[in-house]
Amino acid sequence: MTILSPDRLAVAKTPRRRGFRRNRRFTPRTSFWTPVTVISFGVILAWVVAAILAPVIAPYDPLETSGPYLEAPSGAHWMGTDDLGRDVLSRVIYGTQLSLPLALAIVVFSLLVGGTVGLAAGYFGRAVDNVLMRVADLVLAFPQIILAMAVAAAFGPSVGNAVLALVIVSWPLYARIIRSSVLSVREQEYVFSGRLLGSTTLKSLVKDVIPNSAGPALVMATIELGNAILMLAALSFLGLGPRPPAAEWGAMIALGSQNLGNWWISLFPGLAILTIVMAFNLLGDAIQDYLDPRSRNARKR
Amino acid sequence: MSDTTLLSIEDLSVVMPTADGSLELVHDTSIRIGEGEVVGLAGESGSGKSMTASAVMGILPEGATASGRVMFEGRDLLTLSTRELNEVRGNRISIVFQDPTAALHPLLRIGTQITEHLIHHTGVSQKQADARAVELLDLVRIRDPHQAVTAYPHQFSGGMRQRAAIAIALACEPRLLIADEPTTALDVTVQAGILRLFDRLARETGVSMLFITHDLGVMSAIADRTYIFKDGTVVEHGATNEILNSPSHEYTRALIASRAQSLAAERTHRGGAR
Amino acid sequence: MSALEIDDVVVTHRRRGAAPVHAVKGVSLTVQPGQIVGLVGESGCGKSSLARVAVGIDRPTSGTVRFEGEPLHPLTSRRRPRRDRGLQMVFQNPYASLSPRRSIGAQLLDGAPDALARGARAAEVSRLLRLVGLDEAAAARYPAQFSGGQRQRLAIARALAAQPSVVVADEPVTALDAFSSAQIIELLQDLVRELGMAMLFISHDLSLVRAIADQTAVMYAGEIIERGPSEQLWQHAQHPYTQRLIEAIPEIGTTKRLPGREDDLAGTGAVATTGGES
Repeated sequence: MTILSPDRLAVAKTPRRRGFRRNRRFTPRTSFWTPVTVISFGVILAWVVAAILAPVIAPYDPLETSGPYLEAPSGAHWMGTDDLGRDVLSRVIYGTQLSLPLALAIVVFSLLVGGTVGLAAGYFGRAVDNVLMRVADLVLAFPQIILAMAVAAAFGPSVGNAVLALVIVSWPLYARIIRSSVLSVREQEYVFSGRLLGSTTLKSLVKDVIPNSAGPALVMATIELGNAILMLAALSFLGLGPRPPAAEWGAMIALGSQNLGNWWISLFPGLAILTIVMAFNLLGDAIQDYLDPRSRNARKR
Repeated sequence: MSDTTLLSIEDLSVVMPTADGSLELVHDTSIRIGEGEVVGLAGESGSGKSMTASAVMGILPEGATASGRVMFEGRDLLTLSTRELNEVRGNRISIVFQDPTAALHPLLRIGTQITEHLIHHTGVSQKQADARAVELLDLVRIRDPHQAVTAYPHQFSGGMRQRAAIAIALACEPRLLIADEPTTALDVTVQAGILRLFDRLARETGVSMLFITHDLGVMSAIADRTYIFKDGTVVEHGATNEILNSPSHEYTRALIASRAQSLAAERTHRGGAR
Repeated sequence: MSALEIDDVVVTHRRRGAAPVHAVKGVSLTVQPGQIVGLVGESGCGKSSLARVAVGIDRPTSGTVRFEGEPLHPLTSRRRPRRDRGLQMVFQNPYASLSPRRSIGAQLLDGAPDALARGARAAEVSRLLRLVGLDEAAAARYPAQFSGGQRQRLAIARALAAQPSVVVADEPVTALDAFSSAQIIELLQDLVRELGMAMLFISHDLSLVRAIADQTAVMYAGEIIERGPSEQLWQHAQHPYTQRLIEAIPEIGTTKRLPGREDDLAGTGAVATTGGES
């Protein structure tokens, strides 16, 4: 086919033994699995297992009285009992069945709504962009938790409405991040070449724009999982989420706050929230660092 | 050829650990720069030429280790502490990079960037530094230097930014100036001006230069002696125009043959023009 | 009938709160089938704005672009008309020409006719890879596994899937090493010859354009200031800017010879060609 001149052909055939191609990415020795990342992942995994195996590993029924009222942590009840004699440990374990799926639902729906808005705003620009982003600004103008409270209270306290309220306050964050990614991706040459080759707008969006814009939003989603759990707990602390006697961590803390002398009622659900939220945050940070090429090639000295 | 050696790189190797094992970026390379000389490092990207300069300046990427010796003013730069290196960098040895926009602080005036640098290294007074800044901008042939010191980088064109970066590099009167692809990002007419500037600076201030580029035409115009890099080692070196006109190594020949001018000449000979 | 005809195209970028930028001020250019026309200019001259209009990414402010005699339709939200797909582009940045998240095979098939049967797809991908001198195994890999030069070949292969009669190459080798660059130049020349394509080759490097183009046009500040057969332009440039451009090119000489002229005092004030519409 192409006949290279003898000089160039000889060189092109010599295998490279040393040196490197700048375009091959360095994967440095420090891998993704640092001790912090491993622990974070382990914690999340442990809670997920707890959620799945709750009926098996919880010592008592979370809704039934199983011991004396307000008993401090003991051999029979590792985390003590609350003012209705329910085992705190079992309630903490069963709490995962509410918090985790609900937080996931909140994040997924926020991502879908926010993602669609951000995609439309970023890709179509101009009027569409302006209108959508002003709506997002409107929502963001309110403090998140206050707005969530207002919405939940207006619709009536329930699990579903708590999720709805939190999706309403969270979607603008995703919209902004995705819009930002889309704005830069849509100018990339591969998007243009796709359109020049005859791709429809839909194909362009689905094949080129979305996969390449999703990264930062997904990283934020992992961190937002922790935040969702916190906000859900706050709503239920205020009586605007899952109704009693549901074993939801926030509600448990609320209950315990009336009896602070019996410290174990609030402490253990509080610790549960702390551990899982931190784990999500640290994992999200690790993913972000791992995906960001700049932080990997940082120079010493 | 200069008699006094200013910088001597001896058996330098740079190793970088990767997921697929250790990668040798530079292998047993020795380079000598004499006083008042302009020495060129030529080669493709990834050949190790920039990595060699990074090793001299102590700015290797995270994880890379250098072995061998880099002798400058009686000391081995590879063994110096960070504090000792900081005293050398920007002061005794300076470097100018490819992208002038990235080399300048976008929010500081040009004059401030020069004077800050000067005062940090030499401890002169603000007034003296201000005067020197104007001198330096004049040295690099920026028009109206009194006005230029108050300008911000975004008000300069690419060529002017590179001149400003050179001015900063020369502020403390270094003995060696390293230029890593300084004109690659510039238009050809702007490049010509910068090359003339480098030549004049070398002659007027006596600064020695280590000039890195992949463009052999540029090398021919500016460098007294050149080292040709391939895959981390030097495959040929000597007086620039000797090796470029009568290359001994096949790789050098191949590099020369790949140049646009060579392709054009080939085409004319084949009678391809229509 | 010309393959590509750019007729008195004007491109003006309007900016909010600032004077409009006149990137292209009335440029006319014709490319005949089987011909390579080179467009040379430095940054800020408007060549990239012109390239985008020539291929249909942007709409010109005024003037027409005709592809095979018919007016070209700029990209809208609708699908690009089939007959326009014979006009393709090769971009400057090999790292942005391919989506990092799709396999090479999938991306090569983007330009293939929709009616292509499933069985024939693999064969088509192999054919395209062979045309650009790459191994068939590349189809299953991802762009990150290839070097800059190889990625540019892949980008060319992707454009070839649409069986173009005209290719606009916007600085296709500027980001590549000498070897890769030379190989891509030879590849483009071979493809033009074998497939009978026409090409508009845009570059800031006059010696490169001389190596590949039959006709050359020199662009400065939005206008074409000189044009003619490449070799003739090189030997007998008339316009002072062209002459300056030629003098500024560093050559390998027998002694140190500095390129350009000794007239440079870099100006301040009237400022940056940043945001240059090149």
